Amino acid sequence: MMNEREVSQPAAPQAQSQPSGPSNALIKLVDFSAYYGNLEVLKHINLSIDEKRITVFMGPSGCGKSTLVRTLNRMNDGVPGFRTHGQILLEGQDIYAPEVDPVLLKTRVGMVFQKPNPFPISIYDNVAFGPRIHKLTKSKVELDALVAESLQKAALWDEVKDRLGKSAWGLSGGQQQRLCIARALAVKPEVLLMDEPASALDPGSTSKVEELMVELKEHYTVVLVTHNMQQAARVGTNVAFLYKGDLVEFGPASDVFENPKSPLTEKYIRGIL
Amino acid sequence: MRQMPRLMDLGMEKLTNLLLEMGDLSQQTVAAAMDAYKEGRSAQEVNRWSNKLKQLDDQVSELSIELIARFQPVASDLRYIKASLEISYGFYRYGRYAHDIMEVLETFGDLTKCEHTVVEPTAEKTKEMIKLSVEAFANQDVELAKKITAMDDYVDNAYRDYIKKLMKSRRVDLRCALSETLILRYLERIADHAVYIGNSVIFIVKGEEPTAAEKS
Amino acid sequence: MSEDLVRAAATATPTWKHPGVVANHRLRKVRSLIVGGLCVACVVAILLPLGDMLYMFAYRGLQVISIARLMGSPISSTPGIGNAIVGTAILTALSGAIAIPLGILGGVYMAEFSSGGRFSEALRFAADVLAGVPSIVLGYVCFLAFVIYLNFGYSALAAGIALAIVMFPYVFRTTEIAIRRVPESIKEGAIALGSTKTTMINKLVLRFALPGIMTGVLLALGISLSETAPLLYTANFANYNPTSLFHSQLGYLTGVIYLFYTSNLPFDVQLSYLATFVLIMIVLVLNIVARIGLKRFSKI
Repeated sequence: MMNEREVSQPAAPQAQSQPSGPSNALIKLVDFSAYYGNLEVLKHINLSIDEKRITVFMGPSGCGKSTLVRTLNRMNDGVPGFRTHGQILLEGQDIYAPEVDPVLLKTRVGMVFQKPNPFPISIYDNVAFGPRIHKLTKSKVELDALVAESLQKAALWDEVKDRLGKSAWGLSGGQQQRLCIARALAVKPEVLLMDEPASALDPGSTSKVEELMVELKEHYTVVLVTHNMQQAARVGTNVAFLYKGDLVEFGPASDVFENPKSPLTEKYIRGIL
Repeated sequence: MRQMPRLMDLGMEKLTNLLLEMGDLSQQTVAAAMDAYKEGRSAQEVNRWSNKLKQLDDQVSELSIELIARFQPVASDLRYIKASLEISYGFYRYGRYAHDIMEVLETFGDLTKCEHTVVEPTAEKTKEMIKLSVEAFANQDVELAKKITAMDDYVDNAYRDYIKKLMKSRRVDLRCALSETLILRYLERIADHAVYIGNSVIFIVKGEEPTAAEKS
Repeated sequence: MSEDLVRAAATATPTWKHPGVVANHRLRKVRSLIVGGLCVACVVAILLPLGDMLYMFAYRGLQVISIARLMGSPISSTPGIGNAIVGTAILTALSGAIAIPLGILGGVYMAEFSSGGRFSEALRFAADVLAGVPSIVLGYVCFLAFVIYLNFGYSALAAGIALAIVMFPYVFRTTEIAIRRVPESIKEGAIALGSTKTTMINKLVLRFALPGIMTGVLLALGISLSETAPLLYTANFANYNPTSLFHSQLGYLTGVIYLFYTSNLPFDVQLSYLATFVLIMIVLVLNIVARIGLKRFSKI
């Protein structure tokens, strides 16, 4: 039963997604806006993504969170009519500067998609695809090791180590998604973007992917887009709430979910937006 | 456009109703105990009501846990549930102390000969604080909550001064002294819980505990 | 009033026992049997003459078949269709060598690199029209352009080009469609790994689209094997093997079928049947190989 309370201090955040030690901002968005033709889909975003943490973008459909995450690795470049304004600094360098090679950028900032998209080739070849095209290894032995390492990091190794030559399309949905994660990790990126990676999976696979994300943040900077608020609350270190292209609120997950600053955030997370 | 009620709202409403019921009942219980004490008679209904308050507190507990498990509430919903657990406990304690006051009567027997000069005004003050705590919760009123804190000193001092006076006095009617001390102690505890309830209301509305400055 | 309706609805016969519905059910069964029977009858009606035809050619063809017949030419001591087989092979190889690479590259361009504007729409339309132009017309045009104007003379090359033009639209269109069917998600996945567009196409898209492309290629080959008119215009017909790509006529199976059937020489008619049989066999084998190959590839 509860004891008499004297002067009580607010409890220190206990959640496991809290960082151990200080962190710098790896990616900084400076007054960043994005347009499809004349439609402004991202409006003057200012945001810091901390190194080796999980930063979550959440918001209702159409708020711009998927667009935002795709600007971080310039996946939107091919879309007709897409243009940007402002800067996105990766370790201080603007990734939209003309001298930046978008292909190289994607080796530093990898991406995992909502629907698992393994190539119709063997499990081994899927993971080896990236290293092969970028010639990351010098021998088959090195490549084997890299593939094994990536599959282990994606918590898939034990399940597939005896059938690396089998087609990737024979795996279950959850396994396919972890394979896509392994494939992205094989290129050794610094940042891993995850666009609703668990929304097409069943609850068991979803938990596995979430646990994996929390492990991955020890070595990689993770940016997660999700429309599942509980997921954002479970795994996020820092949470950004976007609404109609605006960054409404950004802060540590415990603050945003226990005592949000903006009434709009409050409405959204309580489900009355 | 009317907002459609959320699934959780039904449960939240039930929670609020339970607390309002507890508030009124506990207020009633303490008033009955104090009246009985003044008039020197026993009041069976105090015991019944105190037990009922315990049951209601258990219900609040269960309902809160169910809401948390099923709906993963956040922000003000979560704070409300946390505060509800604290407030419910407070109302339950009101009833419990009222019951204890009745026990004093039963233990000590006839106390009509004792002076009630300290107890009576203190009891009035305490009853006022209880009333404010119930209203503060019902109306989510931060100002009322602050008022409760301000009134706490009176009750604290009444209790301490009485004891000090007792220690200095020569001739003491043991029965009166002991019973009055106990009653004042219970009133002081009731007042403390009223303050805690006020703090919980502030927590619901503002999202943080009142600062030390606000508490003085 | 509404309560009466409700009460009536509650006590009414359930739908599945309703007499109208039951009768309808029986009617449906009968109808289904009749229509099914009609369908089967139609299929049989079509297959019977086909079977009969195949039987006839097999019978007549096998009457005269021998190694000598398959190797010689109509004017050798043992009249045969050897040169026609060789000629068909040469023409298929030539036209394939032209049409298949061009068709595939064109399809890749249309599916991956074109911006979808007026130009590519016009190109696609032109290819579709080309597919619809009667091959005899194409043959005549090629006759004027290559045989006369460029002075190739009646030649394997002119015929090969004419066939290539006939084949091209099929390879072109099916390649484009096969590549378009590669899911966008696969391409996105490759791009996200830092692949350039060309690498992605070479290593992934073509693999994925291969079954579809193969279908187009086999379709085109099948068409080229069955052409007669354009070949007559551009290569005329010869009873011997060609000696060069230019100014040298050659024989081909379809030519034998057409020309020899009405001949007065009795053996020629036999050869015509033989050529028909051989051609049918080639097409059959081609299809079987295609099916096996496709099954293998679809297993990836």
